[in-house]
Amino acid sequence: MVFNTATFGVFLVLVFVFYWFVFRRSLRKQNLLLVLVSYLFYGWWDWRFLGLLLISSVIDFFIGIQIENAPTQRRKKQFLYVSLVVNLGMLGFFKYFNFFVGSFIDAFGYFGVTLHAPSLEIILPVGISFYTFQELSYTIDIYRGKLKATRDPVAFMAFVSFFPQLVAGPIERAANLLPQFYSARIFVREVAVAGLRLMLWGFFKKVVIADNCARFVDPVYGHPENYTGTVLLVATVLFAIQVYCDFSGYSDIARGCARLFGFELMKNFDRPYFSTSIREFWRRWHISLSSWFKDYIYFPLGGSKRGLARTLLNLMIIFMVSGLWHGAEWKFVIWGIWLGFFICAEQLLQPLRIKLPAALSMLLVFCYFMFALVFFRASGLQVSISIFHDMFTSFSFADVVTQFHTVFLSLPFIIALALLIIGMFVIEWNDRRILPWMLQRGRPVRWMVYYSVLLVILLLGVFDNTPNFVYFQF
Amino acid sequence: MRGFLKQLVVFLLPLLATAGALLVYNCPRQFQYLYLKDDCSSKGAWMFSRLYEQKKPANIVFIGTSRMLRAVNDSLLETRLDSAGLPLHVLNAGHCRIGRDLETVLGEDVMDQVLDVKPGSCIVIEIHEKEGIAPHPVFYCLARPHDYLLPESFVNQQYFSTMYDAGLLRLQYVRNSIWQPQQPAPKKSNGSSRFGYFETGHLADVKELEESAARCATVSNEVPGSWGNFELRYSKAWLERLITKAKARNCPVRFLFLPPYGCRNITPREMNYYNQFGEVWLAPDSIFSKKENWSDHDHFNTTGGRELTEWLAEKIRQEHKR
Repeated sequence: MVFNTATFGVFLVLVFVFYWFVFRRSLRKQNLLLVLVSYLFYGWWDWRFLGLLLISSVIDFFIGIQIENAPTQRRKKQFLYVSLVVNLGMLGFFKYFNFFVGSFIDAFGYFGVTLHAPSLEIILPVGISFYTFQELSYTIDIYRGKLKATRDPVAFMAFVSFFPQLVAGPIERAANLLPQFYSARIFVREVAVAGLRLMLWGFFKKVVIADNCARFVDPVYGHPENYTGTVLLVATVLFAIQVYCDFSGYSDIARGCARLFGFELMKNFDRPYFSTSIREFWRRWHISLSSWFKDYIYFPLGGSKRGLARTLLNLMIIFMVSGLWHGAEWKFVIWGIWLGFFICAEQLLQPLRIKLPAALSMLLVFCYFMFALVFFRASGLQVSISIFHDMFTSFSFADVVTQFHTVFLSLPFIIALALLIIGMFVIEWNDRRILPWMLQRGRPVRWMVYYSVLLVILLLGVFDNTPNFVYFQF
Repeated sequence: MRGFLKQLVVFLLPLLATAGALLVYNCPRQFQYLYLKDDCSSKGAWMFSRLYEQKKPANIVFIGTSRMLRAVNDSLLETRLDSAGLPLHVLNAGHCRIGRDLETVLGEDVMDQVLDVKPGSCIVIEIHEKEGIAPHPVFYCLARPHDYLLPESFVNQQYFSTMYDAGLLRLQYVRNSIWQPQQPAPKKSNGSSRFGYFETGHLADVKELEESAARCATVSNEVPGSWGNFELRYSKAWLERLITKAKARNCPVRFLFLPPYGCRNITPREMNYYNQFGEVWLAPDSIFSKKENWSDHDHFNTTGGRELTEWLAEKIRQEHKR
């Protein structure tokens, strides 16, 4: 089930009614309802993967208890290894089996040895990377003594499968989300309204900005050989906007939706394109994943406390792992290396204390990420390289104009979309001032704003052949 | 909570009113035809042109799916009838994929716009081994508000999604009016021909035909139970609406059995039902059993279309004699 569908609208209304009206008096029943509807939500894609979700939840629930009860540190570690093997094993099988087997065969082929491997048509379960990491944080935190293992299987299953963030995050830490399943839910009108407001903003970003950008980007990246470098460059800029609005839009909808049920999820994006350094960018982009890597890989490897060389190596490791987390393809590994290389370069340049104007720094950081996205979006490594080549060798602004006209058909539409993209960034830049200002106004003003956003969604949103959320593939 | 819900309902009222207004809005027919999706090589655009722009009369109309579209060469049939002393205009109004709802809406437009009833006229409706139960996938594109809101639709298995899609289509029209007021809807190809027949010389894969025949051998002819009958209500309601309209125009109705390869020997399950309204035409097995007559297991190629058309010409001529 996808957020931007009528089915989800009906689903949400029904769950809300049952949650607050039918099961209001029983916390356990509310949690049980959340588990059931989350499984329904997930099974809507492919019911066969429900077993996977259930098995990994049950195993981690019991392992969590075993780790806590283990009498010795050695025994705790053994149980932790079981959790790591099970979770990473499932992730590895479903996500990386074909990749590693294929790469292995290619490597042997390079030396003239032809190997044949069993061909398995493995379908990637939606959101497996997200819920696996969420479960791992649970068992690792128990092992580290930061968290008590839960004895409530329903609460744990609800924590793993909570539908707003199940398929594309935020990757919640058990310490933040799990306790919320123990405490009684009280309906707070302001929180619910804030949730709806966040959902509306998320829908605007997804349906209006991201999906319209996709209308330009998809055909260009589908057949990049048919386009000149300027069109490829514009498509890449638009993809940078698309991927941000798509993913942060999803996160906003997820957080808003969770608020309707009395839960607070972590913020996943904090205006990343206004970062003035690469390090700052990674503190603001996909925060839940970046902080996961920092806490569970970067710090255990020694972080930045073992000298410059080790720091740089650690940075490269987490970005390569991050690349692999995104997809089992070499292009994602190169993407990770690109991202890691530049953050290492920034680390090396830090002692020089170069001071650039803020706007220039932001532009450089944006370019750093935008060009990395060529690897992310192109269909393969070779294609990415040829896109880079074309981008800097063939120019034609007339082609850009033609392409815009071909895709959007109307100049007023293009102008409106451009203004909305600018407006969206201006609002996000000033959200700490704009939101309080709006909330201080009377209801007519607030409602006028909401209706305006809805009108924009209706008049400019993409409803037909809606592209899926970009991060659903992970 | 109560205050929150009350406010939410009040807030949503204008939106619900807008949705309601969109649902009852009759958008221009041209827009609806041009936005027919996956429509067999722009058949929607051609139908609009044929019905609303060319406005040339039709005396014999064939209504059905892509099987009909590739089986009846309306141009050839018209020539054959003409040479037999029957100057009748023929129109193949087949549209790809199955669904009585769309066929009826299309058929009604044909009757309203171009049907000219005179001796020898008839409406020929395609039938299969079993009557379909599902709505046509793009029915919402052509449906008027009363088509998806009124009784025939109550047994539509996809009632809500049809309404949702119909609402979106109307929203799209509003958006087009705002963003592209000067530009007409995209013009598609194939606008000038008077005939709807879709020709292909492709020869079917023999293995595919044999698989189809094997499947037919296992098709059972059991009578549907009460649930099956309930499911059939949707298709039957639309079919009866089409037939009623034809009868009101004094135009007789015929049914043409167009099974896939290897299924000619099966009697259509709803045979008795069709017979209530008009004769069922069963073309000879020799046309259906020749492998070289098929472009795939479902559709005739040029040769098959020609053979069936020749048979139809003779059939109509004989019927006219009587």
